[in-house]
Amino acid sequence: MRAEALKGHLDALLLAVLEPGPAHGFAVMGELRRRTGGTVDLESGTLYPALRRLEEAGLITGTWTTGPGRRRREYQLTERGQRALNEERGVWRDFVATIGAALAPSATAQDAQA
Amino acid sequence: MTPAGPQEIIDSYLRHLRSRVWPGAADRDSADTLDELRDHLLCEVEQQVNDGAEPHSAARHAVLDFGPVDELTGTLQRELIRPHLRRLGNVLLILGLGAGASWTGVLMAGPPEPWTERTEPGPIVFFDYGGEIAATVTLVAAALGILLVTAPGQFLIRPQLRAYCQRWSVRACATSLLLGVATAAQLAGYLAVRAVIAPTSLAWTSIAVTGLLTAATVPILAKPLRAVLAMRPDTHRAPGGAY
Repeated sequence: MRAEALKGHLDALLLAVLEPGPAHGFAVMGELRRRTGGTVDLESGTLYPALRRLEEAGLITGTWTTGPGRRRREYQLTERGQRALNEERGVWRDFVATIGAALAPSATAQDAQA
Repeated sequence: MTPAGPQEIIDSYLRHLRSRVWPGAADRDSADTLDELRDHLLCEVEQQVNDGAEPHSAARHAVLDFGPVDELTGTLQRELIRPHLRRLGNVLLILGLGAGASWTGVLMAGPPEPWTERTEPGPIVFFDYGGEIAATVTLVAAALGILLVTAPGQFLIRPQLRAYCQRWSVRACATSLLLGVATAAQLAGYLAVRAVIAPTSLAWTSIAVTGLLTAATVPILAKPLRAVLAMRPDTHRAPGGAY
């Protein structure tokens, strides 16, 4: 799944991946891939601008740590980020419920099929 | 000819990216971003090598997977320039307010005689009013620049709106800066006229102090301005390169 298909949801996905604890960019990408069974395979060039955007908005914070012989930037969800994620989850649940109800086959269609 | 090592391939890619994203002088921010991207690419190489790939091809694959420099440049610039723009807007607003208040205070509350005893010629009066209007618009434009670049953070799910606001923020900051320069020029003209009609006024002492304080603020403005200009896309550069 490409970034265009994720438009509007990428930020929430990244926040969700960071919810359990801090992680660096490469780990975030791997975890997102793992959680979606490989369906969401972000382009690296999309990931870092998105992380910057979330950091700029105060939803995550980045800190420098020492990786295996090199500097590494780890990201952590802030309280504001957690609130935004909870909100996004609510919006998503409503969206799925609404669209799901609209797309579900109507009783007449089911009768006709039977 | 020996094939380039993994580190060499990654460094070459990052050098190319750096020259495109920061066509001007690179700063600390660019070094941090490149360190982060280097870590990502090395993680990718390590993972592939652990999976049995040969280091050289793992590096080539990591770089290709990361994406073409031409495509990454715009995306990275759009995100990286935003904090610099906000800083520039803040500095423009604070310095504009400070300088405006200081100069207004000095010119209004300074010794009146013989500073204001002569009637000014029409064009000078016109430029006086023009300067005041320009100064006001400068502040409004700076405030607008800050608002436009800060507000999009609240609309994370609307990237188009964010990009739109950012474009206008750049314009607002540029307008503010140009009008600031115009205001400074107008002030210089005003003082030059006073130097002729009131060369011995006591106001010159406070003007000199305010002038020195204003000049001292230039480096404060120069820093965020340099950061923004460093990311100005180089439209004359031909696209392409190794990646």
